[in-house]
Amino acid sequence: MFKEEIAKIEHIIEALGAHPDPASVGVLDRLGTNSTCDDIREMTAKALITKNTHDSLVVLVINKGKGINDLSPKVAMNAVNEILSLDDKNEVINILEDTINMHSDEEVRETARSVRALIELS
Amino acid sequence: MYMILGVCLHDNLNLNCVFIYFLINVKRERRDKNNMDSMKIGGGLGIFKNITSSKNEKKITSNPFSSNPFGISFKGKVQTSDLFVSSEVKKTSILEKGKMAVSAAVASLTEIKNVWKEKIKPVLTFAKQTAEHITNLANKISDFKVEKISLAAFKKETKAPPLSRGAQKLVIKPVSELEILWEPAEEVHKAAQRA
Repeated sequence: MFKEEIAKIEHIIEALGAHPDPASVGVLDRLGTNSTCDDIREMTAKALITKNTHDSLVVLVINKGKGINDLSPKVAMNAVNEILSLDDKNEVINILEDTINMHSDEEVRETARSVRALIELS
Repeated sequence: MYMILGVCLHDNLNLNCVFIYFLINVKRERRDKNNMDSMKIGGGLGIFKNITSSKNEKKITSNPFSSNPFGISFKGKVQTSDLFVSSEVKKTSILEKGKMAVSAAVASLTEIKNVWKEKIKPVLTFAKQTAEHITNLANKISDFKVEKISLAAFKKETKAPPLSRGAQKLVIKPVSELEILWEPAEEVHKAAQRA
């Protein structure tokens, strides 16, 4: 009788970011980072960085067109800002160094190098 | 040769002094004798001397700074200096002059030495204090150790940001259900943006 209230996408992304289930990373990767909407991709990147796990950070660092390599400069800069605001940066630094040393794509390596330098300066 | 004798207080003071003066100074006796002879012959200059002596007597006695407080006079002439001091100038030899010069030089050197010591004393104390300060400072610097301060103590304990009300309701649901809710929510969001 009463229409179910449609949950807001912001709440869903936030809930997935705080969800203890590791499968939440996969949902955010498949649905969030591939969305056509810049706002959704921005919120997804923030949720994945907040999780601060190896799997969640890898998605944003090594994938071309996602996270710090997003085609939208606004989304990419937002992801970088979120990485720099992390308290514990050990995991992301390891991933960045591996990316710099081993990634096949030059652009991805360059982006990782830039973010690594920004972390050192901060 | 100088001879200083005490002045004896006597009624006939002038005669006693004349007697003593006559014994000591021979030259003056001779001169006076010549004067007396000149007076006998016809006066000569001696007459004028006697006349001027009386004048001098009045002038000199009025001088309060005269060293002849008792007004001792000789042949009408009041003596202006100590009677018992010889008019002869003492001739000092070169050796005595040299001795005096050497003693004066030695005294002046000792005095200079003492004055120099007194003047240099505060400078030396200041220099000693400065040296002590420098050595203390050097010891402190050598003992100074650089200790690494760990920033862990200053690190604030961060907590996860609090979830919004809507997220709190959804976080308890399984991931699969949230995946199902994703698509309609995305559609609503896109429609809102277009509007």
